[in-house]
Amino acid sequence: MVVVGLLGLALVLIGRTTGSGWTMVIVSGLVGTLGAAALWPALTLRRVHTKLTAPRDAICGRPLDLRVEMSGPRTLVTASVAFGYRQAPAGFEPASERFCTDVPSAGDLVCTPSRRGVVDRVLVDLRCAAPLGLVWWRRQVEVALESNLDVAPSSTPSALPVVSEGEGGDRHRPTRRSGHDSVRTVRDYVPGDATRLVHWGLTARRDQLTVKELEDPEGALIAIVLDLRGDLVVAEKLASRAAGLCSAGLRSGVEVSLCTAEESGPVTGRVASPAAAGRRLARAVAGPPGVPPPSARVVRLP
Amino acid sequence: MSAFDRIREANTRRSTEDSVPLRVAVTVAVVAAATATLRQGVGGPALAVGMMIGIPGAMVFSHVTRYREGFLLKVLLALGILAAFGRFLADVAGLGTGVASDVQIPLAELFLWTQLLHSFDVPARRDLQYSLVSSLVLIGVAGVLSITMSYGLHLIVWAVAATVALVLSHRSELADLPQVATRSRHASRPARLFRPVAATLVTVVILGAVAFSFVPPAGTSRALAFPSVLPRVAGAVPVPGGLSNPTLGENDPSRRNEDGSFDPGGGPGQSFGYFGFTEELDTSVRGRPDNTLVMRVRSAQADFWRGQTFDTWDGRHWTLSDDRVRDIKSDTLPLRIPATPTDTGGWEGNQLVQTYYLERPGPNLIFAAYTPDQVYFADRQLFQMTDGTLRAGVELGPDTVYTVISQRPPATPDILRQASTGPAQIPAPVASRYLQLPKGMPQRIADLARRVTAGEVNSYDKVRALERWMGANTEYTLDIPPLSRGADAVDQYLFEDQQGFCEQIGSALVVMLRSLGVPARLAVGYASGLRNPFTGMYEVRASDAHAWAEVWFPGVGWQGFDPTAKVPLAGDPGPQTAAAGLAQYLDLSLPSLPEGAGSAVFGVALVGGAVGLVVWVVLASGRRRALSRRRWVTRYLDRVEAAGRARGRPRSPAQSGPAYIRELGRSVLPDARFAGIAELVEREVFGALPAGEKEQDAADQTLEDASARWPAG
Repeated sequence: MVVVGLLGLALVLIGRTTGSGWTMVIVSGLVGTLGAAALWPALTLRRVHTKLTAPRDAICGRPLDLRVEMSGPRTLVTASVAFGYRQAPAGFEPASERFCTDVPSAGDLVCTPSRRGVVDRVLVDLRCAAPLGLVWWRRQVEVALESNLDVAPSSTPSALPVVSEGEGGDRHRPTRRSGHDSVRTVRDYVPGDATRLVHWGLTARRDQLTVKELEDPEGALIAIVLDLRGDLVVAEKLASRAAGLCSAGLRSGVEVSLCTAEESGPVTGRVASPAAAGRRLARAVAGPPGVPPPSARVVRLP
Repeated sequence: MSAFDRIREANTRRSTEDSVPLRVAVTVAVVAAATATLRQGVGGPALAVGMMIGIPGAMVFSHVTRYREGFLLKVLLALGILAAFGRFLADVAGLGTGVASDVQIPLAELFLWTQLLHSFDVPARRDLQYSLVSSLVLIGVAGVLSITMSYGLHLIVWAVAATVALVLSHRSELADLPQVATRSRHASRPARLFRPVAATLVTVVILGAVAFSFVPPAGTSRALAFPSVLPRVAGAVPVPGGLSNPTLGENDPSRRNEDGSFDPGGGPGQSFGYFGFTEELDTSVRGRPDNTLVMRVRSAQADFWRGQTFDTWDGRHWTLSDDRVRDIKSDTLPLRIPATPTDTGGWEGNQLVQTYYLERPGPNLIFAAYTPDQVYFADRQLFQMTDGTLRAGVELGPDTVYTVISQRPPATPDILRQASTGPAQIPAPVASRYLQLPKGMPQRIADLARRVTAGEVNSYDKVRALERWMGANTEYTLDIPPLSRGADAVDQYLFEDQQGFCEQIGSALVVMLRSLGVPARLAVGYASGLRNPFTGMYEVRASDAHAWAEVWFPGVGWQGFDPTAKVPLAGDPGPQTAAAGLAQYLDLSLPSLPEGAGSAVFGVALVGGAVGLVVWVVLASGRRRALSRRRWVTRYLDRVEAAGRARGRPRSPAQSGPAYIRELGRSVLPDARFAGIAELVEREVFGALPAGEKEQDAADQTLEDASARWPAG
């Protein structure tokens, strides 16, 4: 655009010194072109409406599909999205690279949340220079999500550590109650399953690693107490580890209770699936965690 | 890394451009610009053919080889450009004139060669954009050189192609970005081009017209270019310093003998010939020069394009009393024109540069606004008459171009009033030559002049009073009765016919002024003609041939007056904007319409265009909203039909959309909510009641839920 502007100025000078009326026609055309290039995208961009629909769950660092619906005058825009987290630190985290889309259109955009938390709004950075591509206009739209997106921490693969029973018992190795274990069912091995649970006999017969799911006659319960107070980086690592522990616990067949702090205060509750654990961990904030159930074996993080 | 490797790396090709339509659009723009330049007399036929074939060929070559590194090609192209530049320098050195305008053609040729060579190496989008910008430079060069309206066609083609190229370039740029995986039906179609380009062009034209209303008109107040071209066929006039006018046929003054007779054998007179361009002007003969375009004049302001003057009046004929000539010759341009005794001169800062482009053969007079000071004339020789007018030593035919720089007296009514003085201020040479009157002149002419100017104290107001009187009491016409033998043409015009043409009106003004003691003479030449606001040229037609009075003012010099031609005084400002020039052009081009109609036409067109654009935007917006409403229903029905088909229950041709939804809700997708959705769709399609956003979402959700619950197959 600068080049075109400079050429226009040069043409004015040439027209004034040579008397060529055509140069003034060209200059007027250039002014008209720059005017159209500047006005058109400005007028269309402000009439573009954006609607976003996010899935309920996501995992930090893993791509997810965000449904984007653009309506308004027919044009071409580029956009990028940033997730706005409910929890601190405030602000928006970039979640996608710049992409291009028609308006109106609807489609799926691949986004990757960069951190754990609850996303309740999305900042859409719209840019438009159509149709001539000479002057770019930018408009940022904050779109509230209809339902929050819970971004779980990425799970750090973990085996259940040696835990203690009850408060203060985590320094003692629990008594192995192998004599009381009874097999509830068997299933295929998945990475992370404890080696001790491998059912070697069935594995040999099926020619496929098979593990036992145990029925604890006493209803074994693990309480993972996650305290996110302190260094933010360390806290995120702890959350990832908590996710790994939850998965490991659920895989091994024990009940997992997650003790965290949420915006509403300390929360203690059992999680039935990795997804449920992810949601709980997504909502976890720095604060005093909930109190573990008395009968639970407690894993404290940190 | 060696220097060679660094150069090589710096010249590594960027991301290539695969869009063929974009490349075609740029090629069309470049070819249009090159053609426009070639049409202005740049280069010969070989260069024209080379460009017309070479540029598209080079673009094709560039597209085919876009993925090759092409370092050797770059080296060859660089050498080619150096060769073209060397040729340009040689051409310029060969000119040896030191005149900037002479460089224009070689420079345009250099641009053309550069454009051609560059076309061989445009693999990337950025390269194509450079090509587009350089084509803008080329079309600008052509615009500077152009003096005709035919350039407008090239400009239109270039503008359309450049707009298409810009649109495609932008789309191509965006195509490099990740795309949203769209679900909408229309988004998967190839992007339409016509509507955005047409809408953009309409917007550009309207905004450009608004800009045209404010940009200053092209002018030559600070001219850098002083073109002068003499066709090779120009032959010398029979008598150096003599007058030649072959358009008069057998009355060509160069064929006149000592005894006043003409040599036989002259060709036929031309319809655009003017009897005033001769050595003796018979005021009883006008002739009817037609509307042929005889020349174009590039000038910042309108003026009389004066050819010659007459000082001696015998009651019927005008002649020049002193036909001595001064030979003005120089090896370098410009030719400096010395002032004559009646030229006061010495006015600074009121230069008027005029370039004359002859379209038809004509007299060997060098037309110029008063007072010519410098002349760029390719023959490098001129002859100056004692009255200051100029003649060429060669015949002047079509395609002759010359430039005159005139020093114009700063004439405004106030200055002329102050310059008017009594007989004591008139030098003897001026008085003896320009107060001459025939002995037998009827006294009633002088009496009338005195009566009309009674009460006017200065020469300027006397001139204006006489003009007003003639405007009110006489009529301009070419149809007058023949002048009887021995009759005084001025007396006949003023008292008998009260009708006449410019020669008689001008003569009457001169004679009456002389009778009042005001020095005056009759000048002939052309009125300024219409200024074409696009080319910036005054289009002078044969019918603009004119005679008018020149009045001498002490300290100022000669100033032209004529009640029949709308030529402003030298000190009057011309149009201040290009649009004002266009309005003036329309006003003068549409004589059947009342004065000011041109401005009205331009204003109405501008306002109408703007209103039209707004209406179009509003209507298009409303239509889009309606389409957007329909789009959900259409999309929803498509999805319902797809779900039904997948479950072995396609929609029958006779079945309405709502009925089909109800049927699916009862059969393959059992869900009571579909009954409500059918009503919603019915309302939307047939009742024109748009479904709300929540209702749409609920319907979408119902279909998704039911599809998940009752999977296909």
